[in-house]
Amino acid sequence: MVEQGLIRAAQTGDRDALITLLREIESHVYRTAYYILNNEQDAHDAAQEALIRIYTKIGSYEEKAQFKTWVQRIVTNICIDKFRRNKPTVSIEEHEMVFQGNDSVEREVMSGYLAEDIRSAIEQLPDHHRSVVVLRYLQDFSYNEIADSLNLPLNTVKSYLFRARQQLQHLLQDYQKGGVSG
Amino acid sequence: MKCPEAVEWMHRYLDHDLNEEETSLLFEHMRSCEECAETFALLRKLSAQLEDLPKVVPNYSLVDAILPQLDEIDRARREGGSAAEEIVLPMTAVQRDADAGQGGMLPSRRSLRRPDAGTGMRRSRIYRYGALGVAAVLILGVFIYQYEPRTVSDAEIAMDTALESANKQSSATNSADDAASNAQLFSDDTNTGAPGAGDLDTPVSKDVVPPAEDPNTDGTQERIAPGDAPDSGSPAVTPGNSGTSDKSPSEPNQANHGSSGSPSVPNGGSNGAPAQGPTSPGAGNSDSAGDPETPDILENSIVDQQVTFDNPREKYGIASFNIWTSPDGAFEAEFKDGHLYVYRLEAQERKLVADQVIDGNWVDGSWSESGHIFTYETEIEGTPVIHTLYAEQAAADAAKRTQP
Repeated sequence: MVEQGLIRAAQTGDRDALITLLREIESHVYRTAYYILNNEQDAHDAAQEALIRIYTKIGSYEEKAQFKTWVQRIVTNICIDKFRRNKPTVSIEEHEMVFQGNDSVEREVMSGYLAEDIRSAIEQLPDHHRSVVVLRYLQDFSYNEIADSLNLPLNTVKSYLFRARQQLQHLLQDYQKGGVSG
Repeated sequence: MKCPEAVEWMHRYLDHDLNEEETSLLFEHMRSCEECAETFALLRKLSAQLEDLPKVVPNYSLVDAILPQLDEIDRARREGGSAAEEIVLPMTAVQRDADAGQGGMLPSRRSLRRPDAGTGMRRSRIYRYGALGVAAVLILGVFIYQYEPRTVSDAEIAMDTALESANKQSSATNSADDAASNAQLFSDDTNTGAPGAGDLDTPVSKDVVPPAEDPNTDGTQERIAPGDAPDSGSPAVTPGNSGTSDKSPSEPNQANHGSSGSPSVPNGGSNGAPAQGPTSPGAGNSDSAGDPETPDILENSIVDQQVTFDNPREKYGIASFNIWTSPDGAFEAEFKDGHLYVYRLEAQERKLVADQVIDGNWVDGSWSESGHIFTYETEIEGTPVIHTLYAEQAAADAAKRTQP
């Protein structure tokens, strides 16, 4: 949780405060980018772009919104834009790699899904469903915080999240069956 | 509690959105519903795994990596001219105030920069609007330029038709003058063409009348195809002639005016022929001015022209204006490069008999009826001077010189 005083200092032109603020949020920014994009390099690029945007637009942040939801809105927007550009090539490659690397799946199935499977299953979700899941599980955001971040109605956030979980279950069950049979 | 509702509550439970009472209701349902209990187990497992996803961190400091870019942004802001800041400017009103508090330099920087930026933007806007205005004027100008000629030509036609009836009478006399001037224009050709035709009297009228007559027959009576017009050998009249045949379809009334005269240029031709008639010895030609049989005469005139053109020296249209052949075809005078040369025409060649240097400006020259005397006019310092050259005498002198 970023201190409100630090944000105010950054907004009043304190460059050191602003840099400190960016250091505090950079891992949160990166994590969202990483799970939305499912690619380390893209995540670095997107996170840096988001941090620069936060640096230049810190003055437009208003305190009536939570700072963390303001930050997450910036990063998810950048990621979704970026992801849409890269999706066709990246997702297919990643998908095939997952299937090829499933040798030890029988043993792993008993203890649960592979983290890798989960990541690639998340990647299969539509943009907003994916963003909702990432904010819920990687940022521990509440429905309201997700709604603020993505500028979506609360009920929409709930239904996206519920459907996203169901879809993930189906996808992961498919991966498991595919792994066993293959 | 029904199963679909229970599933929704399961999700809400996982998201910490159920209160204690709701939680106990949900679990009560699941104790009695095996299917829901299984669904819940799977969901909880998934949710737990999602929560256990590794909290990845970047493997280098992203902020350190972007520090050069941030410095660049700051420099651009300080310089104030950057487009980047122009974009940021409207959204960072709070920050601008913040800048003021950051250091002693900043307020002065801002006070210096703002008016500049303001006037700069205003100026560029003025230029932009100015450029747009200029572009609009140019486009408008092109339209006006392209539109105007049509208006003018329409007006001409309208004016012609308006004047048409009013000028019926007066045009007759005017066109008589026109015809006379035409006759003068072609009189040189007539003179040169006459010996070729072999007839001293009639060819004069024949050559004069047909060019004047052709527009008449083409434009008002026979409406011979415009293609015939160039054959008549009267380029001065031809454009007006073809113009008539172009106009007449759009104005059917014009045909009704018939031989009495149609407007402007063709008029000169149509009335010129009857006016010429009495003066010319060839009465048959003038009679046939209004005659349906005019094509025959036209053909005759063409034959005459062709006969004229059989003379090789007459092929070169403009050059022939400076060559005068005597009516009997014995001599030829040529004005060339400030000299007047007189030749005696023999079987296949011409023999130079006289060479006179011309002082002043050449005006005109002509042969006498007999064909032995060439009279020419020059102009020296505004004063016309008439000279006379006796060709027979000069030829005799030249013959003496060549035979010493």
